[in-house]
Parts: sequence; C-alpha cells; structure tokens
Amino acid sequence: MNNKQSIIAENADSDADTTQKMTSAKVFWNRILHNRLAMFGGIVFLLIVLLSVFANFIAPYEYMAIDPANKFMMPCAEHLFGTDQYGRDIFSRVIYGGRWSLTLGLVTTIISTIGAIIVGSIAGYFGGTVDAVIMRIIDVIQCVPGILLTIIIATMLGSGLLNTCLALSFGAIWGGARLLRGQILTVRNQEYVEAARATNVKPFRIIIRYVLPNSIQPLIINACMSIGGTIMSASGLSFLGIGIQPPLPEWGAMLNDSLSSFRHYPYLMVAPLIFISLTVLSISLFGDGLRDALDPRMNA
Amino acid sequence: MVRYVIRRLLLVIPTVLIVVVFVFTLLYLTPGDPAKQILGDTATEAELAGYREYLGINRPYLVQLGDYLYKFFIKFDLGESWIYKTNISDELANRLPYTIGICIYSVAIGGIIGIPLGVWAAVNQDRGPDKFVLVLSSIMQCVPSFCIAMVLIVVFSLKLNWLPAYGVKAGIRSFILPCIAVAAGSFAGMARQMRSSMLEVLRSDYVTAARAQGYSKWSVYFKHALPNAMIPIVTMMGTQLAAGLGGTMILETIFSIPGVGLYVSGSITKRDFPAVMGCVLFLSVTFCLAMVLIDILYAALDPRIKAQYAIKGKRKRRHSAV
Repeated sequence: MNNKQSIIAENADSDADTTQKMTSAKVFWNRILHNRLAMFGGIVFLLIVLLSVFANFIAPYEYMAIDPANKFMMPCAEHLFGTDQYGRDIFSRVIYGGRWSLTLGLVTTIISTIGAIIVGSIAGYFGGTVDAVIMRIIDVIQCVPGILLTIIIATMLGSGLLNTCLALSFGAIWGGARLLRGQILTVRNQEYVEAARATNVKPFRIIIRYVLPNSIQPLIINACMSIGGTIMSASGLSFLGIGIQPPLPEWGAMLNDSLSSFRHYPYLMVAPLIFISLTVLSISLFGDGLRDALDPRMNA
Repeated sequence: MVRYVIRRLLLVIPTVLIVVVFVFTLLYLTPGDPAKQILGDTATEAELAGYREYLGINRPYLVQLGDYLYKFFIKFDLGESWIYKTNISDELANRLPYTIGICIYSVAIGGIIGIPLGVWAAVNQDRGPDKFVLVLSSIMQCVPSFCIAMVLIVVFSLKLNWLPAYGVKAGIRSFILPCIAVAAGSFAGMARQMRSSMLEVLRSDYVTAARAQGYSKWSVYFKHALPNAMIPIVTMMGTQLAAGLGGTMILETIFSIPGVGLYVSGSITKRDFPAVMGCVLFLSVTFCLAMVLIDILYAALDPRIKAQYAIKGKRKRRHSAV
C-alpha cells in the first residue's frame, strides 16, 4: 500500500516536472494542435496561400490569355470553373487573384498594426495632454463612416496595390491604437517600468523594451483576426471599381467584372465568392484558435 | 444625466468642425482637375480657367475652407452640386428615405433572426443547437454582403422570378432582397453577442436565486435573464444602424437603389466635391447623434447606469457646495 502511494506520488512529481519543463511556446503549440477547428482553418489557409504562391506552376492557362472562341464556357474538365466573357480561364484567374487579395490583406494589416503601435504607445505611455489630443482625433476620425473614408483616400491616392493598402490601413489603425493604449495604461505604472524610468532609460527604449512586450499581445491577436475582414473590405473596394482594377484578377475585381453578365451566367461569380469566403473563414477559425491558445481566459 | 446629455450634444459641434477641416483637406489634396472632369478633354485652357474661377477652386486653400465653414455653420447651406447643379440638401432629403429604409429593415430582420438564435444557443450551451448557431454565424460572417446579394439576385429574381433584381419601382418588394443581404451579415454578429451576454447573465447570482425560488425555466430565461442580456444588443443594433447609413454604398450599387450611398460613390468618382462633403458631413453628424442617443437609451434601459450618473451628480453638487 505504502509502496503504491509512493509510486503515485513519484508519478505526480514527474508530471509536475514535465509541465514545468514545457515552455510557453510548447504549451501554445500543444493547445493549437489539439484544436481541430483551428487546425482545419490553418490548413485551408495554407493551401490557399500555396495555390496562389505557386500559381504560375499550377494554373493551366495564363490569367490574361483571351480566347474569344471559348467565351462563357460552363465549368468542365478543361476549365474547372468555366471561362468568362473574354474566354479567360476562371480557375487560373482565381488562383492568380489570391496573390493580390492575400497581399492586400497581409500588407494592410502590417501597415495598420505598425500605425496602431506608434499611435497607441505614444498616447498610452505619455498620457496627459498628448493622450487627450490623440484620443479626440481618433474620436473624430471614427465619426466618419469607415468605408467612405477609405474610398475618399483611395481616390486621393489613386489605384494600385500599395495605394489601396494605404487607404485600407488608414481606416484600420484607430481601433487597434485604442486597444493598445488601454493595455499600456495598465502596464505603464508597474514597478519594472518605473525602475527603468528611474535608471534614466530613454522613453522610446522603455516603450520598446519593457512596455510593448507586456502589452502587445491583444493587438497581435486582433490583427490576425482582422486579416479576413480586411480581405473582405479590399474586395468590396475593388468591387466598387476603386481598389485593384480589372483586368487584374483580384477577387473583388473579378466579381465586379462579372457584374455585367452574372445575371445570365451565374457560375462566373462562384469561384471568387468561394475563395473570398473560404479565406476569411479559415483565417477566422485559425485566429480563434490562436486567441484561445495564447489567452485561455478569453475563452468564454 | 440631463447635464451629461447636453455636454455630449455640445461636443458634437467641435467634432463636426474637425471633420469638415479633415475631409475638406483630403478632397483638396485629391489629384485631378474637377473643371476638366466636368467640361471634358475638348475644353480649351481659357475655358478651364474660367470654369475654375466660376467654381471658386482657383482661390487659396484657406479662403475656400473659410468660405465652406461660413456657409455650413452660419447659413446651414451644404451648397450646390458641381455636376447636376442641384441643391445638395434637397438631394439628400430625397435619397435619405431609401437608405434609412434599408438600414432599419435590415437591422430589424437581423435582430428578429439573431436574438432568438443567440438565446437558443446560450440556453443549450455546448450542445447541438449551440454548435449549430456558432458554425452558422461563423460562416455567415465570412461572406461579404455583396456576394450574398449576387446569390440572392440569381436565385430569387432570375431563377424563381419572385422579386425584382434592381430599382425601387416595385415598392416594398424591391427592398426585400437588399435588406436580407445586409441582415445576413448582421444577424450572425447579433447571435454571437446575444449568446455571450446571455451566458454571462445566466451565470450571475440573481438568476441562480430566481431558480432557487422555483420559477420555471422559461420564466427565468425570459423574465429575469433576457432584459439584462438585451442591453449590449441594443447598443450593437444602434451602432449597426448608424454605421449602416454609410455602409449601404455597395448594395445600393448592385441593386441600383437611388439612396445616399449611390449618390456619394458616384460623386467621388466624378470629383463632385461639394456633394461628397455634404454626404460625409451628413453621415458623420448622424453617426455622432446616434451615439449620443445610444448612450441615453443605455442609461434608460439599465437602472444601474442611471444610478451611477445620479451618484456622480450628487457628488459634484456636494463638492460645489463645499
């Protein structure tokens, strides 16, 4: 009996040891690998990324190749999603289109996150008048409907990939900045920040070395989740004919292209629609998993 | 509370002032010559210069801005469209009913579908209905509303021929598809929000107390839990309504509905800057006022918040007396 108990105790000890030995990165991977929905989202997203990165090897046709003899072909073995009004292969276009759509989503998120870090950390760390002024400016900007602001800025900058990214990220900075500011407010008066201040470390070094590492996590999770939303807004912008212009095969631009003839040939819109929705869905599933793995408290 | 509301309302004025300056500057910096856009490529340089003078866009930036501010804040005049020569306020008044109609109906449809779904999911947490609602709302949130609109047009107007695919000539019937397209996205958000706020309320002590007192399951859900769980939903519906005014642009384009959204997107592409300014200002003021209204509604719905204001007011009065 005694022997048995000691064995159990030993086992418990070794269990505790292994949990202690597991680094936070391992815990994170363990959690995310066991989340089936998150894994599904991650794999689907990876597949879509691979399809568009290697589009020049996978696509059976050139995305711009016009073939008037084969226009409006229904989906068949040669043309997986059919052909459009110029006889271009929709499957080839849609996987090339991922290059534009995914780049738009990723670059916009990166730009807006950097913007949010700059604005949010200045407002949160310095506080006082600086904070008040920045927050009032954010209030004002958020009064203008987001899509309207994006369209005005996109018109001002002109079309093109980088300009569309800039226009989209301008609207996306402020929510993130608010989030980060709130986080920094809770961190800025902690002892280790005060210690750094007491040893005369420069403010920007304090922000980068001590404040941001302890407050940036919600912003990063938020950014990952927002990639999908950004891809949707980008396609909406191109759909209105303002972002990426046809004949480039961005998914929203493809839908815009099909607008004149989708009433008679509804299959034209199927492929871009599936790709937009599947991408956004996979990102949101993976983002949910990421959030749960990084911060289990938020799992309501 | 009254003081707070008045202060919030007064704060709208400086906010709008900054919005005017901000959007005016953005439009001023937009490249492209409006005169050339209106007169076409065939116009001579002299004609263009004359037209620029007529529009008043050859004046310095500050003079133009001052002129606009004077007209807007003193005379309450949004000016005249450069292209159609119509009064912008009249144009907005004519187009507003369509846009407001879409917003209200779609938020209402979203609520009617989303709220019961959220409650159903919350009372069956971690069981079949809950998973069904979560999966359904995740999927619906990932499809852009213009994609849903295109699918609806193909199914209901082209294949089944039940409802008109564009225009507003069929009266209320022409609004069914656009409203469903908007609601399809918004009901998902509402269901999720409703689920999480209902779950939070169901875990609270007073619900346990009500259960312990022997009230039936449905009485606890609907009489005790639902009213408090509804508060965040009301805010969400208000925000969606206000944001929807600016967000119907794409749907109005697809369904050719002559609302504010179609007007503003057309004006931006045609460089009709007074019209763009007018629409942006109108939408921003509406958004600000709606936010104040939501705050008031919030306090009216939740006695706890009202009590907070009362305590703050009393404290202030006491301080001022000292």
